Amino acid sequence: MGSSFKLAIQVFSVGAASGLLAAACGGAAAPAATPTKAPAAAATTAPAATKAPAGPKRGGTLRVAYTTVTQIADPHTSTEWVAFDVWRLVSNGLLKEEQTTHKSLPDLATSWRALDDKTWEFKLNQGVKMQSKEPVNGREVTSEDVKYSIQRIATAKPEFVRASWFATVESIDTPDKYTVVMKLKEPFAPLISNLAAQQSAIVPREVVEKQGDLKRPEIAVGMGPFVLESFRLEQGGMFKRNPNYFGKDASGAQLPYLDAIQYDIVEDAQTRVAAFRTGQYDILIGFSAADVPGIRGIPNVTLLPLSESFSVAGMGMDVTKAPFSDIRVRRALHLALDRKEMIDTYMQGQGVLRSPLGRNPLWGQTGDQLANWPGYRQPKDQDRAEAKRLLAEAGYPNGFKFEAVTTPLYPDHHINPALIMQRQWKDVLNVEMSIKQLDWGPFKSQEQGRQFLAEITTLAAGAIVDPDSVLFNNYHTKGSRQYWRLSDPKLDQLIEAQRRAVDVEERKKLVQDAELRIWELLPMIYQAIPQGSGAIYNYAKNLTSTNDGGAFGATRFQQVWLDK
Amino acid sequence: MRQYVARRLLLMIPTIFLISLLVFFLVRLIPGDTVMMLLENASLGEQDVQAYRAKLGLDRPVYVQYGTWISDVLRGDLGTSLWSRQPIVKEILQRLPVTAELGAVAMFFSLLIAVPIGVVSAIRQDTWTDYVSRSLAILGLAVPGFWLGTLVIVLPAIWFGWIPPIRYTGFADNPWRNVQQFLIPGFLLGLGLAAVVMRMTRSMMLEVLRQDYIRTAWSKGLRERGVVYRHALKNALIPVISILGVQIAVIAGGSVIFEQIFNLPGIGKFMYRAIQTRDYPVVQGVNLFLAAVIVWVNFLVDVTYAYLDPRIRFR
Repeated sequence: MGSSFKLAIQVFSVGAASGLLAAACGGAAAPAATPTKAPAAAATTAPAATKAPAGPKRGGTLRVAYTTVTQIADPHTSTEWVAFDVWRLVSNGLLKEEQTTHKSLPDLATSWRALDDKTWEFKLNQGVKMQSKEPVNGREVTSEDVKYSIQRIATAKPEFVRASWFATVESIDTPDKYTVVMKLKEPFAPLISNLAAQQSAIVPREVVEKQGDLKRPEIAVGMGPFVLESFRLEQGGMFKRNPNYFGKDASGAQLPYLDAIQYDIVEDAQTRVAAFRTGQYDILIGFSAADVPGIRGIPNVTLLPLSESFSVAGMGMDVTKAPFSDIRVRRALHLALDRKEMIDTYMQGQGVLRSPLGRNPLWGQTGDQLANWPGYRQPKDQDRAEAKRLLAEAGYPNGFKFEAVTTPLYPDHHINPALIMQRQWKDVLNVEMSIKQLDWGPFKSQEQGRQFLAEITTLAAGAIVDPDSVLFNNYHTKGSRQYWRLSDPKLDQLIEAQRRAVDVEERKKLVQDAELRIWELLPMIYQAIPQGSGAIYNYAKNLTSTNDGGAFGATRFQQVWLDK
Repeated sequence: MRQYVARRLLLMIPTIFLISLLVFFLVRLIPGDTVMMLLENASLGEQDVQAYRAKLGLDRPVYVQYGTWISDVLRGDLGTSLWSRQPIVKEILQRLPVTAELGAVAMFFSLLIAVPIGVVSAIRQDTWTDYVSRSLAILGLAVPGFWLGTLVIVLPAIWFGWIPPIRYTGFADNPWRNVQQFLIPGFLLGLGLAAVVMRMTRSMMLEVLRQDYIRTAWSKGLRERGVVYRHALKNALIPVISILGVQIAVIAGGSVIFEQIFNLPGIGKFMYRAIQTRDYPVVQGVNLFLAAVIVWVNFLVDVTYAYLDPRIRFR
C-alpha cells in the first residue's frame, strides 16, 4: 500500500537529513536559537540586492509605496505587517533578526546567555535614549521597558494574539537597569526567535498609559532610528531621522543615513506600479508576476526577490472524510500534480515550491532537495504512474468528484493554482474537482469552522523563521490553524519535543523528523507560490531583501542611503 | 411654500429610519465574520474567539445591537470602528473634505461638458452634431469608471512617464499639487455624470424650444443666441437641477472606485476598506451619513425647484 511512495520518502529523507546535517556540521552553524550558534546561510534565501560601494552619503528622503492600510497599529496586537514596520522604524527589539539568514542578533541587548535550560540573561546597551518627544522626552531605556513590553505581549487577553510566544515565561527579573533575566516554566526553544521577531517591539509604558493602547499609528514613539512626524490611516506617514539614535554602522558612524522616510499607503496595485515607474517612489513592494517584465524594463531599477516566505500553501483536506480519509488518495493527488506548470505559466518562471514547513531551508528541506522530492521531481511519468496505481488501489480506478473551496483574493495563491489542479487531476486521474469561490470573509469563516472537504488556502506564518509556529499551529492536534482534523500522536510528540529541545542539533533532527512525518500523512497537497518581489531604483543603496514574506523593515532602512 | 417645506422635512424622518434599518441588516447579510478576520493570524481557541466577540458586542441578538446603535446615532454617535476603535464621526469628518472636493470637481466638469453639448444637440436636432453628442453620452454612461481610471493611470505612466501625484496633498498645503491630484479623477467621475445631465438638458431644451413663447421670440426676429440662452435655457435648466440632487448618490458611489485608483483618502476608500474587513459600524455609519447627505441635498434641491417653479408647491 503506497510502498513506492513510502520508499521514495525514506530514500529522500535520508538524503535530505544528511544534506542538512552536512550543511550544519560543515562549517555553517545551526539555526537561530542561541547566540553562539549562528544559523546556516541558505543558498536559496534572498540575496543582497545592492551593496554599498563606497562610503555612504547622508541625507535624502526614501519614498516607499506600501500595499495595505493598517487598521490596528499596535505591534503587540496587530496581525498587519504595516504595524510592525511602523514600530520597527521608531522602536527596537531586545533582539533582531538578520535579514537573510534569520540569525538572532543583538538589538537593545548587547549579549545574552542561557544560565540553565529555563533561565536566560540579557545584557542591555547602556545610555540608550528614548526619542525627544512626548511623553518619553529622551529618558533612558532600561530593563524595565523590556520587562513591560514582553509582559504586555504575553497579556492573557484575546487581542494579544501572540501571547503564546511568551506563555512559558514564568517571571522577568530586572536585577539592574541593564540586565533582564527571564525564567521559563519549562525549556522553550523558540524563545530567542520570538524575541527577535519584528512583532516583539519594545514600547514605552508611558505611551500605553497615556493613550490607553497603541492602536493609532500616529502615537508610535520609541528609541528607534526614525521619529514619527505624522501618520494618517489610508495615507501613510513621514518619519524623520532620530539624531540621538544609538545604532552605529560597522565603521562606528551613527545611523541612520537618511534624513527621512516617506511611507505611503497605495493600495491599488496598478497605481503603485505606475507611481514607481514615474519616479514617485524609490521602492516598490507588492506586484504580481505579470508586472515583472514591465518593471524589469524600467531603467536603473533592480528587482529584489523577497520571499521564501514561510507561508504554507496548497489544498488542505479533511482527513477524516472520504475519499481523503484514505492516505492513498491524498498521495495520488500529490504525485499527480505538476507544480512546474504553475511556475511556468501564471508565475512566469518566478515561483517557489511549498512544503510542510512552508519552505524553511534553515530547518527543513532546501529548494534543491524539494525539486527532487516525489511529486515535485521531473519528469512526471514515474510519479503519475504511481498516482494512478494508488488511486486504483484505494478503490477509485475511475476517479471521483469533490468540491474544493477557495477565495479570489490573491489569485496567484488560490484561484490560479486551483485551475491547474483541476485540469491536471482530471487529465491524469479522472478526478473532477469543482471549485467554489468564496469572498475572503466567508472563506475564513468556513476554514476556521472546518466546514469543508477540501480547501485551497495559504496559511500565513509571518516572518518567524523558527519552525515552531508552523509546526504547532498547522499540524499539532491542538494547532489553531490545523483545519484538517489531523490527529497523529507520533507527530504531536515530535512537535512537542522540538519545542523543549534547547540543543540546536537535537531540535533540528526533531523538526526534520516531524517534517518527514507530515510528508507521510499529507494533510495538504502543497503547491507553488509566486516569488514575492520588491523593486528599487539603483540609487537606493545598502538595501537588502528579506525573506520574511513581509515588507522591507526598519532594520533595513536604518542603513539605507541614497546615491543621488 | 412653508407647508411644503415642513411636509418634506417630516418625510425625511421615516426615510432615514428605513435607511438605518436597511444598512444595519444588509451589512450583516454579507457572508463573513469580523472576528475571524480580526484574529486571522492569531493562535486562539474557540473560547478566546467568543470572548473577543463578546468584547465587541457581536454576541448579542441583532435587534439588540440595532437598538443600541440607533439610540447612539440619535445622540450623534455613529459608533467606533471594530478595527481601529476610533469614533466613526471623527473618521468621516477627516475624510469628508477629500470626497467633497472630488465631488465638486466632478460636478463642475459634468456641467461644463453636459450643458453646452445638450443645448447644441437640441438646437441641432437630428443632425450629425446631435448624433455624435448622443453617442458620446451613451458612451459616458456605458464605460465603467474603474476601467477608464485604470487606463488613465497605466497608459500615461508607460507612454509619457507621467501620472498625477499619488501622495495626497491638501489644498492648503500645496494648491497646485492638490489640483493636479483631483483634476483627472474629477474629470472621469464627471464624465459619467455629464452623460445623464446632457441627455436631460437636451430633452428639456427640445421641450422648451417647442413652447409658444419661444415661437413668439423667433417671430419677433430675436437672434438665436438670445432665444436659446435668454429664454429657452433658463427654463430648460430648472428640471436639470433635480437631476443634480440624484447625482450626489452617483458621486458617492463613484468615489469608492476613483479614490481607490487615484489614492485619495476620502470616504469612498474608507468604506471600501470597511466592507472588505466587515467593519459593521463603519459601513453602517458611513452609509447612514451618506444617505442623510443625499436626502438632505435632495430636500434642498426640491425646495429650490419649488422656489424656481411655483407650480410645484401647489401640487
